Amino acid sequence: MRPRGGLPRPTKVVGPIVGTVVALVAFAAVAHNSGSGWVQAMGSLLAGFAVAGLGGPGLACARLRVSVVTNPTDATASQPLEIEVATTAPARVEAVAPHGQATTIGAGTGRVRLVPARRGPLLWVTLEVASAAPFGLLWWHKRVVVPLARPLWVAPVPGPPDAAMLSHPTAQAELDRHRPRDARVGEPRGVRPYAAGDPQRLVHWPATAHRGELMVREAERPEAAVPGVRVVLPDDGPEGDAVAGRGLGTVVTLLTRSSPVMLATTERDGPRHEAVYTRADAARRLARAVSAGTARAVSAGAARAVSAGAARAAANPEHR
Amino acid sequence: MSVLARVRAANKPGPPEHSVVLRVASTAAVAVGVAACAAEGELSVAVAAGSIVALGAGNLFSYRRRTRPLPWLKAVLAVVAVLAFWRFFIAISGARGVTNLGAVVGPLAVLFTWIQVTHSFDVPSRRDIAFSLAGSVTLMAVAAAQALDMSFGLYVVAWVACMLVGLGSMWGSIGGAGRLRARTVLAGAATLAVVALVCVVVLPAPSVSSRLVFPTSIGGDVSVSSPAGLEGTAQGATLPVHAASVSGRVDVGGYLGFAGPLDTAVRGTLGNQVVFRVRADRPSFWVAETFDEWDGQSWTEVPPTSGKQWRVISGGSPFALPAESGADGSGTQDIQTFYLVQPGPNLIFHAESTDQVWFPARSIFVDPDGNIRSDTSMGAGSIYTVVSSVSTATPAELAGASGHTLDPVNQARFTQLPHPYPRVAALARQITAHATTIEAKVLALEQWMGTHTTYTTDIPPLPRGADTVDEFLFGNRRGYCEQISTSLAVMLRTLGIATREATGYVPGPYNPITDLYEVQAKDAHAWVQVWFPGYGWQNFDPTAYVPLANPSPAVTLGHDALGALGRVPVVPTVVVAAISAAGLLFWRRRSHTPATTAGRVSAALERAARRGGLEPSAAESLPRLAARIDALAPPPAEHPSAGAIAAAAESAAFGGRELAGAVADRLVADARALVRRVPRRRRARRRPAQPGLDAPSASSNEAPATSRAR
Repeated sequence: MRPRGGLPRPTKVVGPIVGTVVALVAFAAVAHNSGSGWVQAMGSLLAGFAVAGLGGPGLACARLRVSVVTNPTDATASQPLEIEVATTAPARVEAVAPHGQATTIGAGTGRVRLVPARRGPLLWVTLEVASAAPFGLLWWHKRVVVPLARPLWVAPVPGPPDAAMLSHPTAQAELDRHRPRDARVGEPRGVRPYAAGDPQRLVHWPATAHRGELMVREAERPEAAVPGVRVVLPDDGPEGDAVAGRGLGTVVTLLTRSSPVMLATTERDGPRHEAVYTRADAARRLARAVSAGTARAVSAGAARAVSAGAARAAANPEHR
Repeated sequence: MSVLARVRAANKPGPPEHSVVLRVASTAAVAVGVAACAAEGELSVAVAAGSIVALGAGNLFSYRRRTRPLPWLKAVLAVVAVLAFWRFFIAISGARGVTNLGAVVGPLAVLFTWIQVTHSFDVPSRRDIAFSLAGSVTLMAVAAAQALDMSFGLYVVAWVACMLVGLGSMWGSIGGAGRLRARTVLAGAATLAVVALVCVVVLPAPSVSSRLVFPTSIGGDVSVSSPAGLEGTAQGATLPVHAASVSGRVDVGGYLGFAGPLDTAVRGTLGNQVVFRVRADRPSFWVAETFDEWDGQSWTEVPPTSGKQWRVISGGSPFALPAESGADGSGTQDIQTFYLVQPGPNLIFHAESTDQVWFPARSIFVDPDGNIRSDTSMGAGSIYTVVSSVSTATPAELAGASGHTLDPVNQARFTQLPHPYPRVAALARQITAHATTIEAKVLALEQWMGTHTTYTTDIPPLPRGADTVDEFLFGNRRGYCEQISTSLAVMLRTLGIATREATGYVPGPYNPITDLYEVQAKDAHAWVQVWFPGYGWQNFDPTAYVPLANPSPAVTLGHDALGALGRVPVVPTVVVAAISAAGLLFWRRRSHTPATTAGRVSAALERAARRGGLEPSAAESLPRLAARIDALAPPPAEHPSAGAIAAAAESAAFGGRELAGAVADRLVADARALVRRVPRRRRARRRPAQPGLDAPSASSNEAPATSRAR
């Protein structure tokens, strides 16, 4: 997606224009009363400086292009983060949505600070770019919606743990049934043959060279049940953010005692009940969580789109 | 926010400015302004030099103290500024109010210089430097008010350069680019040049206000020995010692005619030196003298004993002159200010009927014919102003002229002839046989002279005792303004029409930048004045053209540009332009031509593909492209296929060894022949891709549902 922007507009234009008009009128009065041609010539030069200084930034701002070079993938609501922005010319850049501080980017790239207010995935940022080229006499600004270099998952602000969110523990075997055996936890037990889904970093190369087949490390697996947390968002507004925050606080508290934690949430494409092993996993899961109503609306819309596509395919066989 | 808080917020110092280029540019801009004021005489050289040194020292001090400004410094500088204003008000209080621009401009320059010098010691931030740049504008404006010639343009160019660098550096400092960007400065300069040129062309020429007190000054005064006598320069007047001399330097205003008599038998050497500059609302003849008595070779003025009295007008400037008798007072007011560049006689030039003279003298002399002389000769740098009534009578109005006629004494004076001139009279009657009015007769004679005489300054000497008019009209009919105008005057006098000879200068070329007419020595001229009842003396010039109004700057610039273009030699210019264009094309072709054989072959295959309507893809290999070309246009048996050419090129590119000269040339030639062989076809249009059903919408702020973050 290409960035979308509005027309440039001047900032605080009244003062500079009034000052310019007063100066030019004074020059004209002196020239046309004294008859001095050089005064008129100087006034013409002053008019040229005024046009270039007051109108030039509008053109510079219109030609200005902004892009996000890099950005982090995870953040927390109400916490500042920085993204790297590139401009085609020196400019002042300020994040508008999410809001942030203004930064002057001289040439090339610069870092812009912004503070996401809400949790959720962030694909775009609205930036206000301003230029006063070539003379710095008047700023012109415009707002540009710029896609991020990669999705940014904004986690909710962690809240206090909520015991009401605890759900039935999940047996370790049940966990293993849905996921490949993982040796991230437990005491080392030995090596075993590679199974589909094993992380590449678990490959035990000496054993592999000895056996002639891929071998991975294996650890003792605790037999204790995996605790579960269910987070049901009432809506996708501030109340839902608060619930998600408490859910995050609950999961983080459980993770300090044991890992993993089974987290049940609802996402846009339906319920999701999977283990989270770190705070970052939990934060990202809760960033993606939506309320049940949103999930139903999304699935209904998808169903309508699928049926519309099927109807068109049925009507126009050659478009299949 | 209270008023005090607002004032404090407005005066809060900004962050220190570290850009050295910006400070140097602003200092230079102010220094150029001070130098310009000194060049125009508004500041003495010592004051200007001291101010420039102080500016540099002050800005250096400010730069060193930019992060630690002295708290008591502002108070000290404010006191100094107040003293400067006080001194300024005292200086202008002696002038004739603010209408006396000449008395205000000098103190104004001093005031602005003081302000800039004191300000330079407290310039820590960018905003303060911007104030310095703005201050340089005022200094340049004050200097421009006194500038009379194009030499001021040097200061303008220097100041513009300093401003461009300064403002560009200011943006560089604001925008964080750090260094001055050449592209920024050039873009600003181009915009500035275009807008300034448009303003100069479109705006009308400035006119002088009649409510002002006009500047006057006198440079080098040599008192006149006799009342109303004509004196030359301080070096004294001289005349050539023999007649019929076509060369020879004279000291009387650079023109021989500015002497007691106008001897038509001699002519001085008239060069290109500027004699004076004139600021006027409209171009006119700048009258020096008029003559009424003709003796066959020379024009003279009737001496006072014949009833013509010089009148002394005393009382100081401005001098009010009596209205010329016979004129009805119609016409438009024209204000002319004369700036003498060369020393001149005590003649006060003017346009037609003079009403008022601003001249720095105790008294001036005026005769009933309107000739004006001062009681002192004028050196270079003299300035005086004349307010005249310029006739606007149309030919139709002159044709119907009636009313007050000259009294018999003056009628006899202005129709005086040394002898009857029978042949001249018969010729004049013959030419004006069908003209019934004075205006028609004058025009008929002018037209006849335009078709039957030739203008040239290379004429044989007048034989001793010969009559100038007889020799001109019935001899070779070759002469310059004196012969032509004298002949016209004599012919009119034979018809009984009151006529007199006038000498002075034509308007000279108009400079749209300075708004001044630059009168050169070669602009000296003689013409005829004819009396019209009710309208007075009207100018008629059979040898020169006088425009009706001030030319607009656009017309003048266009005329000058066309004139300059017309002087450009055509053949050498065309030859140079053709060679330059060929060189540029060769360089562009060479720079875009691939250096390797594979590159040239690849370029040729791409041209062949486009010619056949195929669009080469960036991801497509050369053999694949060649296969498409062969499918489109199978090669004849005797020609290699595109595939074979591509294979050979790839072998050369990736084989690590460039092909030998002849082989490479042959391969490239085959590729180019392939281009000509492919039939030309129109490129097929590509249908726009249908948007996918699951493509993310522009308003969505979430990732597409298909992607799952891990």
